[in-house]
Amino acid sequence: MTRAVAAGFTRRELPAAAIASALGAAAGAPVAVAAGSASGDHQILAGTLRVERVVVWVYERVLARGRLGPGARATVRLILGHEREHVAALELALGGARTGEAPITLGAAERELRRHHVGASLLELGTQRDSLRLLVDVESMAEGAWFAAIARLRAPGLAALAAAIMASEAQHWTALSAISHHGDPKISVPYPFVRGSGGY
Amino acid sequence: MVSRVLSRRGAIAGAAAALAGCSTKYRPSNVPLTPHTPGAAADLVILDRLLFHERYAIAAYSAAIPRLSRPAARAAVQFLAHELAHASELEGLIAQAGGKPARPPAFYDLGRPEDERQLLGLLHAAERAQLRAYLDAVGRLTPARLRAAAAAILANEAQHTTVLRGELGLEPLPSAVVSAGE
Repeated sequence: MTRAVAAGFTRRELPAAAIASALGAAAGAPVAVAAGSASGDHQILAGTLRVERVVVWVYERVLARGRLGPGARATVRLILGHEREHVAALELALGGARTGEAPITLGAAERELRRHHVGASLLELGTQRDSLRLLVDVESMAEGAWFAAIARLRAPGLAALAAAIMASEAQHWTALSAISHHGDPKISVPYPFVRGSGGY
Repeated sequence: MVSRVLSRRGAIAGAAAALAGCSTKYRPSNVPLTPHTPGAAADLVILDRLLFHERYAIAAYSAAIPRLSRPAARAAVQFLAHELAHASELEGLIAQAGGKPARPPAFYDLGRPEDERQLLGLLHAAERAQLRAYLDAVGRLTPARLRAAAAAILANEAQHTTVLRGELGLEPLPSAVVSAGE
């Protein structure tokens, strides 16, 4: 599948198709990547898809814990929608939803977070501040995954897709951090270069 | 409330700040880029274009900051420091690729913003132009690690855009992927 735009998308898939289409057109290259691609791009994007799924899982758990005030909750819900779109766009780029993936468990999510230096426990979300701190760390993890992917992807069109998503993660980081720190720009936009957390 | 338009003097001051900010000594980046790297000549053109946009943004922030209210000015000062760092990084990459950064123009046309909202609009427009340029660049630069270096700056510009959109009363997170339309 190229450009990931074809008749037959469900309503849920349309935003992802639009993302893939727009970015493919902007980059002048297909955004879909064949399994077993010699470049390894398929494998790289499969890795970022795993991270994005963990991100979605954590957002869902944070919302379910109910420690967020109305304003923060609205922002977190909006971002969760974005993260779900990232997952859907990646699935399209990789050739469709991967139904064979094992479901994410608490233990698996915590292992993944620790692997990327996110120390907060999903079981210790007593306050809004704890919850937002975890989500900021999770966004750093996603930024790092995308940054590492861009440095390895061979197809320019895929790098453009990755950069647009990575920039979205950076915006999430800023929006979440701003809630905790009263919009202080020195804290919510601290550095001139965004590379995310290490571990990739 | 800003009652004066951006004068030629103010705009020139911005340009001077851009020049001064970009004259700092740059350190070699960790991007493996030399004059012999495949695609270096084409990449130089792209990097020079990015530098133009950074310098325009530096001029815009420099001219706007004295006329912004305190909360907006605080963010703008922070973002100006970022833009200066980006310009320095780009100058270093251009030098690594065997090029010489173009001389900045003596004057930037920043329009005639008359109040704080229009000043923020000017900054927002400068950031959007950068988003467009970096999104295009990431899809065209040759070495993957150079694309990653551009993406690291793009993500920071996207953060600026989020804050500026908030200041303008717009949705700070308009879509799931960053685009030049933000």
